[in-house]
Amino acid sequence: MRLFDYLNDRLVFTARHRRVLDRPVPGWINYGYCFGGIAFTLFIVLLLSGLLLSLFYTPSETEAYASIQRLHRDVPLGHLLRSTHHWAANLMVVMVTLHMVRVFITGSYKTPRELNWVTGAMLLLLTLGYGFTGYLLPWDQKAYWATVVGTNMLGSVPAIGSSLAAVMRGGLDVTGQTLQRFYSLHVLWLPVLTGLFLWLHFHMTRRQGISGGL
Amino acid sequence: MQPDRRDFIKKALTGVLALLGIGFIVPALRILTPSRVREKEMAYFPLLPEEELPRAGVKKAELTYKALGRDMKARVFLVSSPEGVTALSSTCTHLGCLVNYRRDKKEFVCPCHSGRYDLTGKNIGGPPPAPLTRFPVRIRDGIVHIGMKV
Repeated sequence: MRLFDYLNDRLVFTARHRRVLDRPVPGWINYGYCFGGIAFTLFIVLLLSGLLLSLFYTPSETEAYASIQRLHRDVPLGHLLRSTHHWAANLMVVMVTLHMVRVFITGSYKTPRELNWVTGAMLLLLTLGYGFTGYLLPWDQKAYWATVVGTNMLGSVPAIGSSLAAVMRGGLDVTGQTLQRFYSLHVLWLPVLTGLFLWLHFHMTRRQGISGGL
Repeated sequence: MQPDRRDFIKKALTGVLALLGIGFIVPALRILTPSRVREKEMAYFPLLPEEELPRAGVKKAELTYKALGRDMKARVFLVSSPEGVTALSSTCTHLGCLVNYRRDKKEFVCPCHSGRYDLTGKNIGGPPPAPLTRFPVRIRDGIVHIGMKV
């Protein structure tokens, strides 16, 4: 406890905690208001399991599939680790959707919370972006063809579609370059953006409080 | 009763968070521990023909060996003395730099932190904590073989 006091005297984190954690919540609140928190918890689970996965995964055309097989075969609890990431990712999409439905039903997007709805919508897109890029990483047949189809959809955008698809694929076809790009997006670009939007989202939630419902 | 209940909830929350933390750290440590650690085995690799062994003094030679399916190279010093020939590793026991032989001083000197070894490989100055590694030498069919743990 001496160490705790020492650190607290300097970092003053209990005061910070109070500000973040000890927040008054209206009495009429129900479990519908938990979906956002559940989604964030799943994000933490995905972050931690992803950090561990990145120690074993090799994002290369020749090595990706083999590295996952090695994860299953040689790493203790490797299968559990990958399954955790997989199922948390699936559940996160569900929870984010339920959270959005709740916000919609209770009308919590109305003034002054429109901007928070916008950041929430960005976070939904980012979540789907994780799903899309992460799906390619196992580099098996299902992953490959799902990405071929997914990027073909991008190619159907009028006028600039084929250029967009080429940028996303890093070439005209889905190749090792695509895998590299998706890996980079999945573990670097998207998390940076997610951090930014999560901060905005939570900041506004704190400042604006929980909406009074309809 | 109110403060008691609050206290209980606080403790329960801390407990649950601690459990979650342990629930992450324990499997994470399991995952990070390498599962296939094997013992290194001694193997002999040909170095040079017997007649090229030094009659006196020190000779530097390059040993090519195979470890973990890869071709590797190591610099070896062959030191001849009245007792016979010994093979010394050139890897400094301090931080792993490659030592050089100084003919004028009859010493091995490490270029990184001036660690010094005598001709038997014994550390005689500077930071090295142990003598140079001595490789077993074996002569088969007129070829000098050096033993390495791979």
